Amino acid sequence: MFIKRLFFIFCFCSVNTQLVEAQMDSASQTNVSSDSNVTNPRSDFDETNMSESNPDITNQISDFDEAQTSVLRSNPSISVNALMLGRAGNKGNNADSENPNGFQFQELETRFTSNIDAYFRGDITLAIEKEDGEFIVEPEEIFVETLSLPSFTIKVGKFYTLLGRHNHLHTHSFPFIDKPLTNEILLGEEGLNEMGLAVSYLIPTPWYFEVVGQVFSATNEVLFNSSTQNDVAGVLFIKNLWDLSDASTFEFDLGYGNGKNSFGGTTHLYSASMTYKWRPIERSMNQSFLWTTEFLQSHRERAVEDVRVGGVSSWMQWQFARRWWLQGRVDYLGLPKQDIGATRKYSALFGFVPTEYSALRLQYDHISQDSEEKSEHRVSLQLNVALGTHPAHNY
Amino acid sequence: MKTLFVFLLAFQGFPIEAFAKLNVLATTTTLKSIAESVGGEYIKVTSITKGPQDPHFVEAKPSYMIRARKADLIIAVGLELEIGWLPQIIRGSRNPKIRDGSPGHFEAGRFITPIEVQQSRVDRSQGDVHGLGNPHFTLDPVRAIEIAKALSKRLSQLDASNKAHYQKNVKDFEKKINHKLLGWTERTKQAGIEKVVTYHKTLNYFLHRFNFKLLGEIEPRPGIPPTAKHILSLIETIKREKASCILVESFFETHAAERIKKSVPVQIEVVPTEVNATRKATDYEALIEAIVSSIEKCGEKKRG
Repeated sequence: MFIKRLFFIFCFCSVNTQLVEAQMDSASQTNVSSDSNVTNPRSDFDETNMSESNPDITNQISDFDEAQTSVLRSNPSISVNALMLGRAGNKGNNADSENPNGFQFQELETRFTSNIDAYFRGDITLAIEKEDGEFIVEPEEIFVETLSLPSFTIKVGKFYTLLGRHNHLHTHSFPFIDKPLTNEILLGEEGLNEMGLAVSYLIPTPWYFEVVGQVFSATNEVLFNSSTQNDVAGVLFIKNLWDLSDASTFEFDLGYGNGKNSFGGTTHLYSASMTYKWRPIERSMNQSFLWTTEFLQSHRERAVEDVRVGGVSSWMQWQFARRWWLQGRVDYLGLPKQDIGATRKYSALFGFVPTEYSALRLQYDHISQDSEEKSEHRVSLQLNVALGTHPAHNY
Repeated sequence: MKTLFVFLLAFQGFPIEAFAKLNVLATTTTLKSIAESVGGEYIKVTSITKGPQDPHFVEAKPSYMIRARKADLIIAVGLELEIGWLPQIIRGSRNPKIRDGSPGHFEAGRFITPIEVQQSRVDRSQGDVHGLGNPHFTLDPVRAIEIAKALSKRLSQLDASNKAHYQKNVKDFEKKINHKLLGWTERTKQAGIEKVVTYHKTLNYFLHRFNFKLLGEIEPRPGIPPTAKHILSLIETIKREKASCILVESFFETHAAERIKKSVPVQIEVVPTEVNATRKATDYEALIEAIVSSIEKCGEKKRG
């Protein structure tokens, strides 16, 4: 029976290798078949020639236009996201405040994306931000992804780990001006973002069922700070998405992370998230609705006593008119409840988004900690603009 | 255990293509209709968008990626109409057959001559402009025939065994559309309408083909909702040119057109610009027929 199983595994693997090879072959044929007439824009085209569209004309391309288009094709897509903030809050003038009052340059993200060749795609995000009064340039994500493997995608480099619903987002695509409290406390200020490898497999089911295995260096300051340099941590992420109707979808994700921590023990990380999205197919730009709930918990083993920190964040985004958004978020950090008590954060946001390239957002936050008598109130105004060709955001 | 492995093997897309129809995925319902005319019963074609859905504004939903995963051929409009969502769907599908550059990737815009190709530098201050040309070329019956011909060549390349059928189907399609074109040309001439206003630039190829003059659009710039200032200047233009017909593409609302109607006598007709955008536009022929009869209605109301 065991031999039979081995035989099937062998057949399965060899079929897959053949398929992979076949796809690698097809990937290297990057030229469109010879009978297609490629149309290129030309500066001398006269609209009045329109009475009879003549495909033979399309083969005559002016040199200038061809040079232009090849330059455009060989450059990566470059985009820049600039985020600027104004803040006012009752604790913003404290010396140690992480959210000081006044005008602030939040972040500038530069992103380069390009197909490298028929096999790989590159994606680089550099962030410029102020840290301790100085501007610094930080590589946020630098990775390479495969293009031609059937069902699989392999990603190598430094990138945000897929965990929960928020960790993988770049600052300019945060649903609110800041991160949920749970993400900030559990995963650190920079989030879970390490150098490593991710393999994603799309399971052949009628619904979207993706399994992502991620392995990376265990150096996250909050979770995995391992004393041995070459320790690795891993996160397994499962994503399921169903169409409830033409206009609505439901997503359910689970994540589990494991790695050595600075106490010499193991850190376990758990995430569970659900998202409901609605956008009608008629006049689809005029309204939409989203509701996400994300649970995060970390369990750090150590000799003295294990540390368990966790919480839930739930937020809603309602696009009630073409350019206007009303959003609310509730963060609760205290699952399980700590000795110092729980922290609650309530946020409300009002946004004006005239196009997908610019947004003006006003957010009010109320933060109350059991351990502190006085709650924090804060109002922030953010201008969020995008220059250049930015790749479309994930659904 | 055995059944599990056989099950998994089958799902891996083990090459049984010789026995199965070509699985074709079109981005729009109009392209689907043209593909059906060429492929007939020898292909299985579905569309990503639904009729009333504006193809400009589609999100790359994972369920589309699942459908693209099984496709042998993807048919897209091109000219950057789907640039906001199609590349993501193709990448997310992990199907190398349909990547740009492979035979399984067909962009209709590469097989026709476009109009409104931008001569000077375009940027986003001009709105949502397509630098490579106006992508709404399917509304020109002559170009639809060109697309059908190119498509039949591609289908023959992917499925040589049915080449004769594809060639016959496309000849029938060409004959049928050319015949209808005579009728449409005659009727649009007799309608008594010369100048029209539209909401977006969707009807430009149709208007060129049937010799109408486009006075302007209700959108001040593509993708930008109408402003009061622009509506006022449009009203002046309509009065000056003595135009009487506003065609509003079914994806958009008629509020702005109604406001214009309060100031100047015009007829407003809602027209489909994709197959199944309205109930009458059941296939490609019916789509063009619906636009032609809307123009005739404009003409009747003007006379009446």
